[in-house]
Amino acid sequence: MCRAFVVVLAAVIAAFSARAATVEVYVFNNEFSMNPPGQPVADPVISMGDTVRWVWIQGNHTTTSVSGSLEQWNSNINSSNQTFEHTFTNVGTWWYYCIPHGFDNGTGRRAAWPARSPCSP
Amino acid sequence: MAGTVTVLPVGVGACCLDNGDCDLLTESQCLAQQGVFQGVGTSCSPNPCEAQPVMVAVVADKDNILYETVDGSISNALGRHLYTGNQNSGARRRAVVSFDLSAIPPGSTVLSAGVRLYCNQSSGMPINVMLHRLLADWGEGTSQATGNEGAGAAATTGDATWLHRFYPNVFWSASGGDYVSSSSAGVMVMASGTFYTWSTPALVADVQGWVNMPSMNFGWVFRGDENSSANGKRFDSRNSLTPANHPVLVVTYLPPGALGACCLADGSCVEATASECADMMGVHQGAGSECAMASCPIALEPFVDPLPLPAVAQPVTGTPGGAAHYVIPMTEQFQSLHRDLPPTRVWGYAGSYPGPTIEARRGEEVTVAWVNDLRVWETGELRTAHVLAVDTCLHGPNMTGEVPVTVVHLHGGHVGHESDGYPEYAFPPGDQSPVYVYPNNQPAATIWYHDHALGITRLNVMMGLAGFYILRDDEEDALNIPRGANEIPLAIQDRSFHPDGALKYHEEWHDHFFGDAILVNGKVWPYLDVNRGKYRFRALNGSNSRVYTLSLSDGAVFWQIGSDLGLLESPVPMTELTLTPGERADIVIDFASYAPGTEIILTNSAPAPYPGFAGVGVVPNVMKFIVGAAVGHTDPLPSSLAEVPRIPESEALLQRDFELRQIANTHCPDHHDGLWTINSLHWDDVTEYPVLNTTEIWAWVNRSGVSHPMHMHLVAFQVLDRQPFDPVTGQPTGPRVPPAANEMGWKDTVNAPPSEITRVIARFTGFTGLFPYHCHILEHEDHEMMRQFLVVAPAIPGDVNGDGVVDFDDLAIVLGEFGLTGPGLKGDLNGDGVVDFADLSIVLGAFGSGR
Ligand SMILES: [Cu+2]
Ligand SMILES: [Cu+2]
Repeated sequence: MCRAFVVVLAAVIAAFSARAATVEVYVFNNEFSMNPPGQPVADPVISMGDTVRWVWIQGNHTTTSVSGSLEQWNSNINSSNQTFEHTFTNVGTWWYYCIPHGFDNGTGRRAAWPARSPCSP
Repeated sequence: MAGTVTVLPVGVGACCLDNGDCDLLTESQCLAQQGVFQGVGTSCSPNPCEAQPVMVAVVADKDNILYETVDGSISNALGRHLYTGNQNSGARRRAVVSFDLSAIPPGSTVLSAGVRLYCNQSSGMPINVMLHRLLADWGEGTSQATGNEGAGAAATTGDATWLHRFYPNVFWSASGGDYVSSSSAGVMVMASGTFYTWSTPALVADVQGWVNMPSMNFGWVFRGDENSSANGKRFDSRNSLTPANHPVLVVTYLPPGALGACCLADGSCVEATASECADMMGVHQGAGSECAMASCPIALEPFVDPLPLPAVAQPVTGTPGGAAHYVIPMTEQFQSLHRDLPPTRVWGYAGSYPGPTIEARRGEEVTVAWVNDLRVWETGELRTAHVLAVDTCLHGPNMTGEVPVTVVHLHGGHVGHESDGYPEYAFPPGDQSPVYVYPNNQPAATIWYHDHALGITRLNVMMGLAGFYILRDDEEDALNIPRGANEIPLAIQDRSFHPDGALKYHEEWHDHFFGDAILVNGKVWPYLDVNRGKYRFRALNGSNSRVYTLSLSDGAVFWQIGSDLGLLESPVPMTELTLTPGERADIVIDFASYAPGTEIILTNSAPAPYPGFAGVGVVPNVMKFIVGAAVGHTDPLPSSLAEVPRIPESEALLQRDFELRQIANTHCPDHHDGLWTINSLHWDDVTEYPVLNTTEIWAWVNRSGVSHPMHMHLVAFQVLDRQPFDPVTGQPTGPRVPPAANEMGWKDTVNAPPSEITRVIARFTGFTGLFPYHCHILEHEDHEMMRQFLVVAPAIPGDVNGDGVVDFDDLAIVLGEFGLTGPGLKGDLNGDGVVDFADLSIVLGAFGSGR
């Protein structure tokens, strides 16, 4: 599984955009990705106040924030073509997982800003 | 599965810098760096700074007609039509058309190009209208043949004519225009009222040339069939009254972009712009990508090498196929794995990858001393380090380090602990195993030997440490099934290569390895010449992680006659066979009905990871069969092959449940991927103590998103059923479904699909001691998805049914099986493969004890 992580930006800018956006993330076997299956896995980068909408296109999965996360959400298991939304109001990189197919690695796991580069298989 | 959402402070977005890099900045920061801000909240992943293909449609900026006349005095610059094909008189007509490409930036890469004309009148027969690149400039004056366009009008100054580039003083060097003699494209034009499009790689090359050197852009000449008459084809010109029908050139191109990794066909990587990469026929990995991170597959031509057949292993004493003693070294050598690939450093047994096939016969003991003779090929020194990167965080190499320790497991062999290739018994180069004893007290089967060293099995097998062990018996020999030259083992494995031929594998431990090339018996995508008859193929999935769903390219039916540990009761017709890592299938393919010369490809359709998403990660080719003229084995298959009595569920003392799942990687917290576990326990946690000669049901409860091929050492099991369950509540969501007919035989490895409970039933016979059970995805096996059970002797010898007393029930079991041979017989108390007086005497000797 190949994935890019983004460093947490410390500064919180007070100004609040009036143009909050919604970003879609596909849920399928066995990834969360902004790209459809078969393409590189991409995690969303959004602005504070934006919403992530998870769209189930395959399988029985949850999207569930890890324990201790400032952003907390948990979908039910959804089957195909159902959605779940969460609006983010905290700056940071927020880990989440699928209850049946993933694991809660807590909030301790952070990775530095890597590369804008493709990953090895 | 896991993911992240990264939330940025409001105001930050992707900023495309001059060098093609993307950084997350505020708009003012971006402008300060002379970047192009992509908008608040935009992301660098995917990289918006990467060049995207652009499509442009360019209408002709100039056109004219060359009418064949002696003096070159006819033209039709402003006419509404263009003509190709001959007049009724036989005089030729050619249309010249050019397009202004200044809209395409220099340095762009042309991806596609097509010229479209609208045919508005078609006389005579359909003709091939060909388009040639013009080599000299020409003009469009003011001539206009209104009402008589087929014959043209008097040329005006600057017009192109049959003789002139620019009337009246500048001439073509050849009458009828100066153009490249080979056409760039040709299209059959047969009807009016239709658009025709010319689009070929040669045409793309023309356009690319003009983008590179605009001064050479003189357009194309359109020529019809000029050998017959009255076949004129008339098209709308750029002066036609219907603008939609004007000549148009549609081009898609990649604008010149920033540097990024570019994968070339030979698997090498250079940093180049997208357009430069396309010039080199490479695959660009995106602006800002780096070669250090790119994984470039090597394009290898399939089906150019013949299928190799492993040699038969030669014993030190005894004969192959009978009782014999072997000394088999593990060796390093260079082997050609594909015609176009430099030789690859591999490991094998006795000098070859895959290792030589050990031929064995039921009841005739084979012994092997396995020698770790892995030496650096160049120096001959015993190896102190592995060829592939060892992840020393894993259990095993955290103690043995980089040293390529090895130990051999006979996968499917009913053997004792000391001869089982126990993972912790791995030994370093220069050392050897004790003499392993393979009693062969089990039915004929396709079994295999491979490395099993703790924590580096995936690396040792990747290097090539695997081979076949073919066990035969009289029962199988009595069947009229293909044998000899018509019986062929197929070890199917996936690999990836560096351009120098070296095997490519992860530096750090990962969940899976999926190669981009499929090897059979050590050759990439080989071919096999077959005669017109039946073949028995002993197919083995010897891959680390990849699952195969095999079919024949023509959809033909084949028959599975055997599973992991022996023949099925009867042949099972199939068109698709799924093999997870470690599984074997004996299949019969009948080539009798094919015409000589027919080519049939053995294809794969299984996604990777599996079951995954249809089409994702599939490598579709496996190998090719080429049918010859000779007639082969054409006898019908026997309808009945062997007896495979089902183990009654009621025989089981208990059922054990095993939860398969991935957990947070506490062992190696820096690892990207989680730890694979069985019941969240590890290799060292022994919690299963089956009693010798008892029967148990083991249930694999797969709480993960991928299939796990679960393998048990020592035992032959049968698949009872599979039942879907809700992965959150654990509650069943459907009935228990018995396996398909091809899974009703003896097995040692079973596909445990996600969100299903896969139950197997096994008799623990023959040997006490510690034996591994594990997932046969070798990456999983190496990182804790392997545990062990300890077979213990019954508290009282002779207590066959384990009820604590030796009584008539125990006697009845032995008598009931008296004289039977085979694996898993409860009455076979001494484990010699037969229920006889020796077993009876154990019961009688202990009769009454425990009471
Ligand atoms: Cu899931
Ligand atoms: Cu597994």
